[in-house]
Amino acid sequence: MLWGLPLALAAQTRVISGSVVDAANGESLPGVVVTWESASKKTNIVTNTYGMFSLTVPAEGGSVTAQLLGYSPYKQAVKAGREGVKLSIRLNEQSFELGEVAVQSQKLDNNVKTTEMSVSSLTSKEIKKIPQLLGETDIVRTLTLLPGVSTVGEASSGFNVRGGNADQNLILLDEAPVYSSSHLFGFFSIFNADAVRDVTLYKGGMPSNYGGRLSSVLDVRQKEGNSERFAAQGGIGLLSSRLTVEGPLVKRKASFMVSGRRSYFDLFLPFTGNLELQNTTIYFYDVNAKVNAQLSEKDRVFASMYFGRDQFGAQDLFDFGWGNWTSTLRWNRAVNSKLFFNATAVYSDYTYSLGTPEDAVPSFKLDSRIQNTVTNVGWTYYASNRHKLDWGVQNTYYVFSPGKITGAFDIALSKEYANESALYFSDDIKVTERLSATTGLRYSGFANLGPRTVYTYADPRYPTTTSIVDTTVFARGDVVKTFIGLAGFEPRLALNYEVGPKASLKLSYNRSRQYIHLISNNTTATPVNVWRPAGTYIDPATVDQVAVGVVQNFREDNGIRLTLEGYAKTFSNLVDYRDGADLVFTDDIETELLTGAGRAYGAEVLLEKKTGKVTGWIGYTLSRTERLIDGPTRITRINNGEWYPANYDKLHDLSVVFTYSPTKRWDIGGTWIYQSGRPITYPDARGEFEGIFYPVYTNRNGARTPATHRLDLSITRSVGKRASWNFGVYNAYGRRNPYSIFFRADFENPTNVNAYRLSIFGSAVPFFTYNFSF
Amino acid sequence: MRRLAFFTAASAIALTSCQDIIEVELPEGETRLIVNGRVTDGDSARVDVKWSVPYLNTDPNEPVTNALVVLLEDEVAVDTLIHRSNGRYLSNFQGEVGRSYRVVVTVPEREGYPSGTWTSATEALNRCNDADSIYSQYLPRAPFQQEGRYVFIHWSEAPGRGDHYRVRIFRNDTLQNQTFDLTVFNDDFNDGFVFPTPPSIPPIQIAGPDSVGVKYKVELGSISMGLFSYLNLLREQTLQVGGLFDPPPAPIVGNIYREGNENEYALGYFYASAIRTAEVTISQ
Repeated sequence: MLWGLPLALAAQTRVISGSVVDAANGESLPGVVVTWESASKKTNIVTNTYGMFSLTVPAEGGSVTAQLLGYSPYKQAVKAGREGVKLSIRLNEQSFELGEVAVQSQKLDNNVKTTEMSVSSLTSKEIKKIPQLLGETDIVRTLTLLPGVSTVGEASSGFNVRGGNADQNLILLDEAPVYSSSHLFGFFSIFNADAVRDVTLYKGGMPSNYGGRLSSVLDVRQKEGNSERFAAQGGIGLLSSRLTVEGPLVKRKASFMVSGRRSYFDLFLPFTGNLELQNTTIYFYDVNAKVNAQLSEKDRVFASMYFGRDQFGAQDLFDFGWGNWTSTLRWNRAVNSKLFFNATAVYSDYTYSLGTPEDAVPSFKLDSRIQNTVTNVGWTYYASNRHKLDWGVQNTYYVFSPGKITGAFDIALSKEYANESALYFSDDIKVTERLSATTGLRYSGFANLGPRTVYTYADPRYPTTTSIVDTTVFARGDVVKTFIGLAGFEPRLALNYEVGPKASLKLSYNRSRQYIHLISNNTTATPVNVWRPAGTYIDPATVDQVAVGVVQNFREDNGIRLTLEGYAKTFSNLVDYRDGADLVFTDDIETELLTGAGRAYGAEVLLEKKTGKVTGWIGYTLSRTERLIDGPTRITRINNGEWYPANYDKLHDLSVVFTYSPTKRWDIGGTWIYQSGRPITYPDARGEFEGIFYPVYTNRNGARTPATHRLDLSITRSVGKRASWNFGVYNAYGRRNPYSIFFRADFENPTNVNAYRLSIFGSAVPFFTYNFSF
Repeated sequence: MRRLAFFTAASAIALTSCQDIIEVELPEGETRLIVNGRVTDGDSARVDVKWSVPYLNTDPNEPVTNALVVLLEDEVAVDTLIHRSNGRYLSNFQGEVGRSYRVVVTVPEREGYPSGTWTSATEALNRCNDADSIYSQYLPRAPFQQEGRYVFIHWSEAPGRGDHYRVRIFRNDTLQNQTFDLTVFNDDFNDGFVFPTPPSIPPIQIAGPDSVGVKYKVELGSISMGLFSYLNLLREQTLQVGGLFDPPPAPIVGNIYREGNENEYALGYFYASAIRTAEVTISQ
């Protein structure tokens, strides 16, 4: 009888569930591998976005370990029993001295086991070690060092993922959509690294709970605030200074975090002696805040906000400002040991205004705005250690206010209202010991709502201002146009096949739909570009992406990882613009638009070293991105209706990123990039109008700039335990990388034309920052 | 409005950027016919016919001296223009407000370019008000403004949306004819505004700072929406180039097509315009 007991307990099961937090500050830790080990079974699971996990294990005695790179492993024995067990695991950050020994004992091979692919995660800590322009820790700029992520050029606003436009990235800050991710026209991102916990970028294989954009999801999570003790950190830099304060409201139960940043080089302009600069205003600031509270063992609530603004102007002549405001309320509940529930309500508001100061005569002000109200409800059910289900409902209500002019005269473009709803379901299952599958389905629908006046055109496929034949007026709440049907299904599939303990093969497919478009005909988007919803004349855009990958880990500790991926994407209903389109303050925007197709394909290599004194990665992308805009007449085509390269198409893109920490006091960081030239259009003849000469273009993006390469270096020296100096140089060897090549005629002799190279950074840019914490 | 945004952006970029002259090799596209011309209610009709040249060629565009150029009013041929010199064809014909005009150009065969007949789209000759006044005024140094004497006009816009205008400035009888001198506007935001009744059109600064004694003549001309768009595109494609926020290069296509095929275009624009002039000499 007695010898039969362990066998009987092994046959029965129980659930071990709980959460994992950082012991130093109480922050939830997602991505932690929680492993159960007993005589009859070894199994593991990864904590979700909120640091929660649920493991179904035999009722026999065993142990639970929790492992995350950069943290000391945690191990706890669990006695035999049939009752469920709740664990609150607290992981301690690895100290430098322990590093080499402790890390080697870990087997962080989750990248081999998960179906997840085309995903990059970075922590704020990792990003801070990489040299940055003017010492400003920049999350978006760092992401562009990863394979598959690029920009049109240095200081470009936004980023491009696997051939997608900048407006095809869903940028979420604590689940709130952000519509402009840049400060200073693209020089810096709006994310203050001190306020950010971690960043995840999905380039493909999108989980079905994400949707609404074609090419990527950038999920940025703010810190929750230190629930253990009061703490502060900050920095004083050349461009800006920042301060973050956090601490417990109720120890280990509730905490807060407030962070602020402001640039200040405008304060020095009065000393330049230049009248124009003395009267110039140029600055940005942002504020992040978050509170969270553990209401019960099962319930936790969060409230977070972000407010940021750029302001630019000459005091007597004009003012120009833009910025985002987001606020998020979230409730997590562990319904039982297997079922987790999350509800989120979000308000997001992006505004810009442009005009004269209010007291100017005549005065003029243009205001534009996009407001979102988002509600998400989702569940995660751990059916077993091999089987996880996710499902939920999402809704976004949009109000677009593309333009309102006040002052000497008042005039406004029509507002647009829209609603986007989605249902999603995802099934994560380990089919065999080697094969895992995530199958997901998302269904999205969209309604463009009144009030609105819609014109009917003689040829609705190609509307022009001169071909209006009828007008329809929709009242408030009327449905102008809906997109509900089979096309709203967005299947998602990801497979992982483990070919060995350190290697796996991956495959993913995803379809995504995008119902709102950034109306921008500039080389890179500007803060004054507006978003418009799908409607009578603008269809939703769709992408299908297939990606295949290989993961191979090296060394005992899996500290070196090689990831190879190939992808192919086809886009439909992409918005483009007629030649010479006027997109500013245009109500019947459809008369300026064209739609077409796109294709992108490429191969990516990422070799990462995650442990040791030297860490970093080498990333390489070989890719092609093209567009096709064809129509029945000349004005409905671009490039004569033939495929042409997108503005950000770069065949080769290589990044080498390293951090060397020879001692506890020193960190040396370096980045070197090489990119093929980007497409530009060269004129192939000279035309003339009444004595004015002009270029004749017939081949869109038919030429290329020379290649770009750049080295950035930084050295960080710790001063005591709570402060550090960071020195460095951006563009260390002063390379004048071409942003563009353009032509300008001689004023006196207009047939004498010179070619010019525009470089955004003309020389090496040194920087220093002093960082502190207490 | 858009220029203001671009200016602010350009100013921010200017703090770190630099421009260098470089050597480039350009593709050589096919030669295209260029037809430009106008008919007005105030001076002689004229049409210039030339060939395009490679972009970095420093020679003038090659004139076409043996074309047949016919002017039509309300689809009735009214005159055949005579070649004077350098590809310019002239007629004493003057247009009339309310009528519409078109030019037909037949070009004989040229090496690599077959003979053919080209036509402009039909252009209406629209109304245009006279300037109310023109004057010079001293302005002190201020941000983005040099000290000196500037020239302004007051002007009233005719009621009824859809008017488009072009301003040409003559300094001491010489046309200011750089790309940045191309000035067009429409009545989208000032339809029917009368100076000085609010809401009024503020005085429009047309020149300056300049010296006492310099004569300025302003030619205000009605134009079609087509020419308005064409000149905006021409301005944009020659001045807003190479920067981060500039539009992509685009073909600058006017209203000249091969007869019977609108998709085969020549370069240039033929337009009709009612022109009104005013002049002032800068005084103390």
